[in-house]
Amino acid sequence: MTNLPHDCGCASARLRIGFVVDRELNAQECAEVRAHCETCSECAEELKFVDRLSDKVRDACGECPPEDVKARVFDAVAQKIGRPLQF
Amino acid sequence: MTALLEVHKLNSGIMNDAHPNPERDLLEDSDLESVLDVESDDDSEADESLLAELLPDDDVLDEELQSISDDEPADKATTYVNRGSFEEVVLPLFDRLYRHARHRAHTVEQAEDLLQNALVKAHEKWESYEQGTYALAWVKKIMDNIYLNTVTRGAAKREVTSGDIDPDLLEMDGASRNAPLGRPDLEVVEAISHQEIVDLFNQLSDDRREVLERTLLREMSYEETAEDLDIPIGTVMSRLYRGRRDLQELVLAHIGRKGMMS
Repeated sequence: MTNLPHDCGCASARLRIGFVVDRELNAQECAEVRAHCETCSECAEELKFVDRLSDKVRDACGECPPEDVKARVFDAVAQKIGRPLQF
Repeated sequence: MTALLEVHKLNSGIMNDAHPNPERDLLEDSDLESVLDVESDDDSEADESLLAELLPDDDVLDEELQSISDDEPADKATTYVNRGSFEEVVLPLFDRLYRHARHRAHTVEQAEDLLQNALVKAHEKWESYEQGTYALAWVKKIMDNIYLNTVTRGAAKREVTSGDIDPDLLEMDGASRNAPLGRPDLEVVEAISHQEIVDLFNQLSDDRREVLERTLLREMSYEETAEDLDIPIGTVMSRLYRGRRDLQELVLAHIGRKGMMS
């Protein structure tokens, strides 16, 4: 196992930004990367870009729920919670 | 519901089975449909007590949800941290929650039931949702809790650290590993059509695309991706890192060709 340096500079943050966006990295390391991004605008922009590009890929390539499934789930949830959902 | 209770008895050792059979942890489709129908009126009192044991333990679930609140501070850079009503926070996550349910369940019908019950449970627990908690993780946890309690208990998600990353990636010179690729404005990224993104995504090498497909498009964890592809979790991470860099390069080349760069 190879450990990263304890200080979270740009190189260390850049390596981990994608894993932070995926919410897979443990809480401590996520906090380190976020703390670095608070003080480094370049890495903060990179975090936003990776997050947005990931969403874009999900929107473009991911399976969309069929409209009838969506409608049925919303109806069933509204029925179970006893009020219409507010969109 | 009877079939489900039999599965639970087997899983929990109630039937005195000293030699658990792993195959018994796998529910049949009909079993999952049964457990997801939490509102069934046909259960006897005895069944109700077993069912209460089988369905998510609220105390345990509450602790797990609290741990998300503790571990996931508000991240100003992400979309899914919101302040608002249940509908305002949770319903925009529907597509991603559906994909997570599709990964968990075997059929569209089961995914529909699982998603429906997770949303109802999330609504029940909405008062305990702490504003600023990562809502997607919060609802996924509720969904996983419903699902995993039908199969086996204690299937905790493995914690991932940078120590898991493949050494070959870590040992690369940081400057060359993270060499700036250039980064278009987010408005330019927004202007790329879905079809163009699909075409760019399909240009990725198979090994990098398959990990991105699982983690981004099917909402699988790194651990699940590693198991599914039968590769170490560190390899998943390094392929994800490189796959994202490749995609960024492809996007940059694309917008350069189209003259979209601002």
